[in-house]
Amino acid sequence: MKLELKNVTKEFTGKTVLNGIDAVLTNGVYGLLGPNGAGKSTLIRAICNLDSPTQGAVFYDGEHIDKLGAQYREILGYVPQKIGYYPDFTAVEFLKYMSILKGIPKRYQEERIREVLELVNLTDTGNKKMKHFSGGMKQRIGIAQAILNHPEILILDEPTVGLDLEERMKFKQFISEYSADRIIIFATHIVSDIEDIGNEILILKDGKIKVQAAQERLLTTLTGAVWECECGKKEAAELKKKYKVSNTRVNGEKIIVRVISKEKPGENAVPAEGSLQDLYLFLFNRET
Amino acid sequence: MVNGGDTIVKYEIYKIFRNKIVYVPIVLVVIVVLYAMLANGEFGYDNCDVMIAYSEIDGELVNGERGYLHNKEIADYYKGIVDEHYLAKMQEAYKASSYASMEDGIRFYNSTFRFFQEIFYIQEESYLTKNDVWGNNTIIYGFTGDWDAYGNVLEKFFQAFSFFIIIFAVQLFTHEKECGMTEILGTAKYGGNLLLRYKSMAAFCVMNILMFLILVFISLVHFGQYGFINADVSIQCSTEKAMAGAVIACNMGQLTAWKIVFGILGCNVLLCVTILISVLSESSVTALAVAVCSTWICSYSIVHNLVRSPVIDVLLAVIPINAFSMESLVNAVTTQAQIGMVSIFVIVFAGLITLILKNIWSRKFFYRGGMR
Repeated sequence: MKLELKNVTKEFTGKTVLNGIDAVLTNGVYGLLGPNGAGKSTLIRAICNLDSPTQGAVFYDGEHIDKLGAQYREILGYVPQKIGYYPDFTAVEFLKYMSILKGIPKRYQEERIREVLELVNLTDTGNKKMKHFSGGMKQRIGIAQAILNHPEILILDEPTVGLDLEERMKFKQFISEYSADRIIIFATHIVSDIEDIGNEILILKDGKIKVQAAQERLLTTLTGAVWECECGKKEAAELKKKYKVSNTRVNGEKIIVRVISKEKPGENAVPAEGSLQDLYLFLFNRET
Repeated sequence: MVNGGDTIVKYEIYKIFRNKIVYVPIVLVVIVVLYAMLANGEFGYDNCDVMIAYSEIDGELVNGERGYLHNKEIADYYKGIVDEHYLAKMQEAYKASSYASMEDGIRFYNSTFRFFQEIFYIQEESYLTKNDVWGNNTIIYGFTGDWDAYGNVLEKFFQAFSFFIIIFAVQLFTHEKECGMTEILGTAKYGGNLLLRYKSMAAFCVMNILMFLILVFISLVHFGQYGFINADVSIQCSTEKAMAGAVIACNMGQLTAWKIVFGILGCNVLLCVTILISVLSESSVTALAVAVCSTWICSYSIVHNLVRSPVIDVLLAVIPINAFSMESLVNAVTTQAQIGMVSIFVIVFAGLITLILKNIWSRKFFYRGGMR
């Protein structure tokens, strides 16, 4: 199973949103990171075949996804950034409709709907109209519809928005287990969401993939670039002015400042293990 | 249809009826139909005054004490009621009566023309008997409460039904957009063009089945009450001006059949147009406003004859509201050539709609992208 992006370029009225993106994706979870406006959603729309690239193309196992059409959509699951739903439908009715559209045989529909409702913890509210659902419940029903057809390619655009901590952890665990023989693309700007589960990270900036590598390998690039300094208020303020700071925390009278810098920021600075959040900050020169 | 397509169509039909707003125009259509049926012949006859005058004169001549009337008295009956245009049409129809093969129609022209001659061309005052006025033939005034009533109920039904079509069809695609469902639908196996096709098929099924059921109901009630008597009477005997003045060999049964055919065609064309509006619009309110306004403009321009040319006449003949109007229907079926042109236009229009539905709408408008 291989998803290949070849020179994917998208222009909107003279503005280049995606600029010649090349990537090869095989089994695993791919964290797609990037600031707002980096082109994440446009790239996802191109992969979902919702939008045609101005140049280049997306191939699945060597076949152009345009040519595959319904065959490609059969193995696709998509959770959009903003979940659509029918307010007057119950969750079961909605999933029934989606399972019909996804071509799930009638004899399996009920069982599959029960499974996914259990998975997203909505079994008790399956017969409640969706207009009465909270934001988190709508998000979960969005996830449920995406996995109805056991997709080989699962694309998630900011899927954890609206989920509480427990649901978020449960979801991450599910994705981790689910990724065994699937391609999962997880687009987010919340770095911690993919920190534990993303096998590979794609960082998008100005319509280009700036970095694509395994998470462990990426973090090695931060060796010697992450420091923790225990200091007073005044020194902390100076460090913030001078360096990129990824985190500060109070420890009694002292403040521990986490600094991203190639050089040692101070006498009392000790090297620390880099995280994905540090890497993101390192690349984008901004706080997350 | 792909495997499972019938299930999608069924579920789309279920979705249509889940929308409570759909029931409002259905109830209105039923009310209009029942009202038209109960009102029967008294409903909407624009020249019933002329008919009343006929029957009063006839009553005086046949049943009155004298058995005759002075031509000035007869003229008084007509004073203020006789329509010059109607008279001219009558005379024209009489002259061209060789086209009207139906015996009743010719007889009607003969007696009517003689009657007008008696009243308006004989200068000297005279007393006229029934024979002087009508000739030896029995004049047929029309078919109020019979075929005319049936035709009238059909007209009212199609007019009311057109609003049902607009209200239920504008929401077909705008509802998906308003619910934010286009992306999810676009990535489903049977999303994209397939869904567009199935949604449209569901809409056509709902509309045609509902239309069929109501037509059957109207027909059963009508024929149960009146039977098929007078189906072969020429349309020139009708109380409707447009038909009484028409120079065409056509009987009431044929005309009614035409009316049903045009009504069904008109409804299907209107549904195509409304689906197009729904695909192009972002909100149901906008789509509804566009559909109602465009239909109203078309019907207004037809009723008031704002634009006339041979080409426009043909185009107007297939505009749905026009198909539901008796006058335009008679105009449309006046010559075989027009029938042919109308048929060709309907076929071309349907083909164009299919082509657009299959290849253009979905890519450019509904999904705003490159769905295949």
